Amino acid sequence: MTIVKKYLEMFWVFFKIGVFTIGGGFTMIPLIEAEVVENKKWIKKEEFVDTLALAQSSPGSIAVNIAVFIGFKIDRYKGAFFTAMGAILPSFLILLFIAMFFREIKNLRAVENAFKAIRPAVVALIAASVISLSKSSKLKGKAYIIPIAIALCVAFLKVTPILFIILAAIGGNLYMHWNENNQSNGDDNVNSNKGVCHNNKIDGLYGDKIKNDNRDDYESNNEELSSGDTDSGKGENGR
Amino acid sequence: MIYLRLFLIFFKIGLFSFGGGYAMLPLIQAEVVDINNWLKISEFTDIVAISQITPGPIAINSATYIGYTVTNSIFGSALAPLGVTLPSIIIMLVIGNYFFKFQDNKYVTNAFVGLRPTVVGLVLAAMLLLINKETFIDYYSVILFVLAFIATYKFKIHPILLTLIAGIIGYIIY
Repeated sequence: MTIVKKYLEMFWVFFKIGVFTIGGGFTMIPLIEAEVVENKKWIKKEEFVDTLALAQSSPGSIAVNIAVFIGFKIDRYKGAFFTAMGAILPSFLILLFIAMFFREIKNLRAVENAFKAIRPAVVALIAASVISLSKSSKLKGKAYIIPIAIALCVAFLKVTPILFIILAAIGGNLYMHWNENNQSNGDDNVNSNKGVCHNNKIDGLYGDKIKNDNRDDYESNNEELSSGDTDSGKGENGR
Repeated sequence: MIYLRLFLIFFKIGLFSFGGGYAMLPLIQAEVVDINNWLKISEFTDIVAISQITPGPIAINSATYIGYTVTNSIFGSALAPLGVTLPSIIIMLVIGNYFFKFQDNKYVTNAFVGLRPTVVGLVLAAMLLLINKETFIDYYSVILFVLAFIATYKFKIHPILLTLIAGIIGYIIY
């Protein structure tokens, strides 16, 4: 009974999102954030950023990709089935209805006028998402140049996003490799408080990488120094 | 065998289009209008317009509509979106499977260090592309944008509620 209820809930959340996703998959991002991350707490905010990365790295509709991945994360293949169905069915049913009976919808004044106001509101929703995504990706200082430069290249120079996804995966590895080398070449007190200060400096440029990587030996000694910093991410998710 | 052809064409489009629904439209146009002559270009333009003013992913919207128009049957209208979503569903499941297996792998973790800011950039790009003359038609649009931003960012108004309110406001003021 509860299992059925859970599947229905997953289906219903994505169905609802599907009905109100206006203007393509990217519009789904603020909705998923509100429903799946904040309301239902099925995934954490950081996981949501990773989900977006995966959804954009694979072909096809971004909305469906996100739905499949989140469903899979909640409950493997069955979960993916219900979330994907939820994301696909509303637009299928609505478009089937329009194709069969209501082809003149695009000439309807009321619909047209409603959409005149919805479009700028959707841009505002996505803008708010960009801010909250950049917060949960823990960018700091100069690192903000990276997303801005990518956005300008994709939007105005029409560079394909795939290129940046490939470069980012390679770049992330190179950057971390370089970081590690720097760390081991530095003082040998990496695990002391001095070492933590050194790490914080890198953190200042670029979010949570060190915490992810050296979580074990790092967390033990950074409590007084950077607990505020490490906990900020967790706190955000908890809310 | 128009059904099989329809399915295969949309499967192919779903497999080879990166970057979401908007990236698919030129591929769909090439197949449906230029190669198979199923639709006239004016019909295709109408379908794009309808897909944009209806809820849901553009890819599924246009596939459903084209499937129905080409075959004149509900079966056809289901086959096209099935074809367009199947490759990405399969690929996402494979990626998902490997991701959860290897998410603690050093190289995967490191790749995501680079991917996170990139994703922020790509969503920002999608937003920049929406800032055009079709979205911002007059001063009302700018005011609506600012109000909607404050409502969602400051007051955490739910996106669905916000969309509904915006629709009603549009109906009243235009």
